[in-house]
Amino acid sequence: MNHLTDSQRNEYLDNALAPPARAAADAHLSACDSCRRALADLESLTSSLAALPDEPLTRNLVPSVLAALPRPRLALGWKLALAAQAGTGIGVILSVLADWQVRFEPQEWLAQAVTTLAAIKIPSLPASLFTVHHSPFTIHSSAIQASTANLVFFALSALLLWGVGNAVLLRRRNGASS
Amino acid sequence: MARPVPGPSGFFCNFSRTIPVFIVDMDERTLALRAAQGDREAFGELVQLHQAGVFNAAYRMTGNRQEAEDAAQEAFLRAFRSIHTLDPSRPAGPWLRRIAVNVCLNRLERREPLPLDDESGLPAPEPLPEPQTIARERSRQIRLALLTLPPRYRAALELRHFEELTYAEMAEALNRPMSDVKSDLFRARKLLAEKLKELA
Repeated sequence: MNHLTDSQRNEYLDNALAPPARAAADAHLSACDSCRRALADLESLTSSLAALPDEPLTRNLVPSVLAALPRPRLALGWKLALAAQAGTGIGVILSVLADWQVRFEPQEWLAQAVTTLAAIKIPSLPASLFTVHHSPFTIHSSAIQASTANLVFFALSALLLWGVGNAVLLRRRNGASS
Repeated sequence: MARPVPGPSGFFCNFSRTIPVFIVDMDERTLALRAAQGDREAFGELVQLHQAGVFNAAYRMTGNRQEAEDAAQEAFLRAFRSIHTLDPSRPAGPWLRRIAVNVCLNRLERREPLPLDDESGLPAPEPLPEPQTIARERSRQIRLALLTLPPRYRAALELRHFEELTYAEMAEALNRPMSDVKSDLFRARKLLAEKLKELA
């Protein structure tokens, strides 16, 4: 008679034997005191472990865990929303500036401000808007006329970006609170 | 039971502010989903729910209360970083305890064995009737015997007997071949039985 191996006894205990192997093991166990005792020892060990009581936790881990969490990074949605809002602001400012340029004689401080803005490279903005001729303090009239189309473009872009930005912000805020 | 929960966290929100929103029976799945979106307060709720289980898994592995608390905290931090891998349709507890077992395994394998907790930080136990005293002594013996085992044997016992994982799940949790995990488990049982006979 071949006794159950250590591995077979363990797998029997863990219900990990395939059905034919388990049936064979059952048949052997019914006839072998030695293997039954060995299996009973294993079962007793399992019972001892199962009876091990839980230890009480004497301090709340929540504050220390939360304090140690990494700083939250801005999610992509928030970044997009903020970019849209920033775009809106820039668009509004440019539109106002362009509108003033059309209706009023450019003041020196305004021309200087526009010149400063022109020095900042913003790839998406038409270069003609900031084209400065003659002197750093005078904006050429053709540039002012050309910017009328840009004015509409900026206004519509700003409106679109404002809408998109607010939609994203509202959606994320509602999602977080629901 | 209704309870106040923190408001949404985001760019225009104060993280420390609590708005009077009441959510009834916010379940673990919702918490897991919110935590996966980076909601720290929801993650805090998950920690609150599972800290005792995670601590006990760590305590069985280390036998030292302070070490177990540190390991539990490390496990929660690691869980937060990989919260996106948690399947919200499954309970978070076993997942968290598996992480705790791995954390303990790493910590135990890179340092000297720790002394068994002498429970000096706990209030003195009240005298118990004899059967309970015997049970307490038996528990102490089991914990002592567990601590004599190599860390990876303890991990195998923890995952099989307390987390009730299958061999395949144990292998996945420990990132080791199934044959190795089975071998560790069987040897762990044998050694533990021998040690308990010595201590009895």
